[in-house]
Amino acid sequence: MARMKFLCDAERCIECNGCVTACKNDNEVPWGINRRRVVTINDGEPGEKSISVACMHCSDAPCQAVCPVNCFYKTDEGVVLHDKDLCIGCGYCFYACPFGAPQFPQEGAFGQRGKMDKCTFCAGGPEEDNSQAEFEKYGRNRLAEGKLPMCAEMCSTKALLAGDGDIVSDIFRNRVIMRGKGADLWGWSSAYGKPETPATQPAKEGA
Amino acid sequence: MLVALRNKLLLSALAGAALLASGCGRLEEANAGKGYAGKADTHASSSGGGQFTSGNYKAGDKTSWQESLDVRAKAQNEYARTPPRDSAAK
Repeated sequence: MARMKFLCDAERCIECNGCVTACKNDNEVPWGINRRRVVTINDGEPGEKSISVACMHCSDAPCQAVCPVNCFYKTDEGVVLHDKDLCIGCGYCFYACPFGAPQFPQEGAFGQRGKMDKCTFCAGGPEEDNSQAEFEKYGRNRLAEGKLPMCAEMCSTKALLAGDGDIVSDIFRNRVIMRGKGADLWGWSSAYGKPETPATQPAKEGA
Repeated sequence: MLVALRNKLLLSALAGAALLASGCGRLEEANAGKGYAGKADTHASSSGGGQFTSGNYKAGDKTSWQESLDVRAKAQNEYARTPPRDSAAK
């Protein structure tokens, strides 16, 4: 099996925030924490593009490199997870992450940070699979149930794809061939180490 | 005197080269290769998934677990479920 990957197709995302809602609801994520969010570029202008962003489960994860307590690990499927019992909430991973994936609950006064929370690819964490402890700390473990992450499975336009990297890229490649455009993938090079394709600039009026 | 100075320069150059070389590794190995320090996690296929399991995979059966995930991943491709527009028009 290849690595588990997310892929968001900017040509299809309609900024409905269904993925954000599904994630929050299914994992019972606390108030103020968004494991997933939708980012829109040139919002309100013709040709605006939206994309759903969460932890990209990087092949060479910067969060894992900077963690002073070594609380990150990677599963056999390439899912980057962490141990909340070990996390000290220092925030280094937040600064290292190019996607702003690590989230910190505000606990107590003076902006005191709690333990880091992030997308787990619906794979839980280092607790007994599908146990109450795992759910409370990390959310649902859909991967152990033989399912893919909730955000991707319920995406209405199938803009957000998840699963085995080979299958996901095959689906996307097929789409690009069928529609004949939109091969650019935002964040692809940062997360997966592939060369960046220069984004095409929209032609300006009168130019 | 000159020999001592040369040795010093040589040593500092070697130390610098070693420092540069250590910076070229993978990011994950940046924390001195200490690795993961937390609790051990079991593989996702080991538990069987409890009452909400999808497919027919059994606890510990990694192959059928992967097949279950692959079926769902492939189901995300609507072109595989519906015929292309050209062939549907025929």
